Amino acid sequence: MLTDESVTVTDAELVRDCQKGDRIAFRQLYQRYQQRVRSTLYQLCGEQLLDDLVQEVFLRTWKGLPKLRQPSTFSTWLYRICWNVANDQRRQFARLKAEKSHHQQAVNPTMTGQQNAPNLMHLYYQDLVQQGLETLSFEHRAVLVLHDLEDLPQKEVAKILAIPVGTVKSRLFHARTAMRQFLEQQGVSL
Amino acid sequence: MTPFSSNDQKLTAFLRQHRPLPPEAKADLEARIFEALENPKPSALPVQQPLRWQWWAVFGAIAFSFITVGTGYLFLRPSLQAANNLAQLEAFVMDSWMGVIDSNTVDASETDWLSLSELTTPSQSSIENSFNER
Repeated sequence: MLTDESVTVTDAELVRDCQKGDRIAFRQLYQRYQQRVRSTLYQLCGEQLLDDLVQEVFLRTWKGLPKLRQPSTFSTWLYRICWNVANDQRRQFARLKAEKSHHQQAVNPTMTGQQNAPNLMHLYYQDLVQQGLETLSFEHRAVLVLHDLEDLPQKEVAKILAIPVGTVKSRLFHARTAMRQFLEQQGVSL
Repeated sequence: MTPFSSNDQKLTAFLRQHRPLPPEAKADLEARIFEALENPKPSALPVQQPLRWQWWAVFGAIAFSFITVGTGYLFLRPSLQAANNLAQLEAFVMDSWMGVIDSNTVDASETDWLSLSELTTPSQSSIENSFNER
């Protein structure tokens, strides 16, 4: 019963309830979006402090909800907050990034011997994709994650990142080229 | 740069199939978030506040310009003494001007005499005197 209700209630209605201070409505929004937020943050920032980042996104969301004038644009707005949180966190990660990539390069050779088992193969490719994302610049990574992994249209990506659609297309082109090159260097033929 | 080329489709399909999945959230994350809503604490992340110092700079510049204009006015405005001198000078100029105007109203005979005497230069008068002596 509760599940049916939560499905039929639109984001806009939940947002309006939240704007009146309804925390139950906010809990529904959290449950609806937390996986997407978590996934986006993970692909943008990696595993470190992921729970804290998710918490930060939803705290900022709750704080900012009274100022959201168009409740129907909630998901775009939420992705925008994700991007801001990831961007803030990126500065803190900048020092750790070099150490981490060095560590992952050391891990790579051990994976090549495990390519017979399908599950391990899948894990290996997942790891490659994660590494490939980390080789991209933050701006290119964001476009690739939002467009290709989160399946958002280019127009929405442009709104989230506050850039023209042309820039989204250009970044997407460069990001895909770089990602393809990285995968091919790792022996993946596409 | 076409987003739907076959190469791009293959790449996108590969990325989606093998997209890295985030680790499971801690069991108490949801509770932690909603507890934080009740008792908000300052963010641990460095929240970007780029406008704050810019606003201070703008206000500082405005205040500085007011101070500059104020002190400039105090130093550069004419003093009381100078104002008195100026009034005296103005009165003198007025008197002189009135005198010139008054002098233009003398009768015609005086004017003729004046113009004749003005035309007679010292060299001419000396010539006339020498002529008379002869």
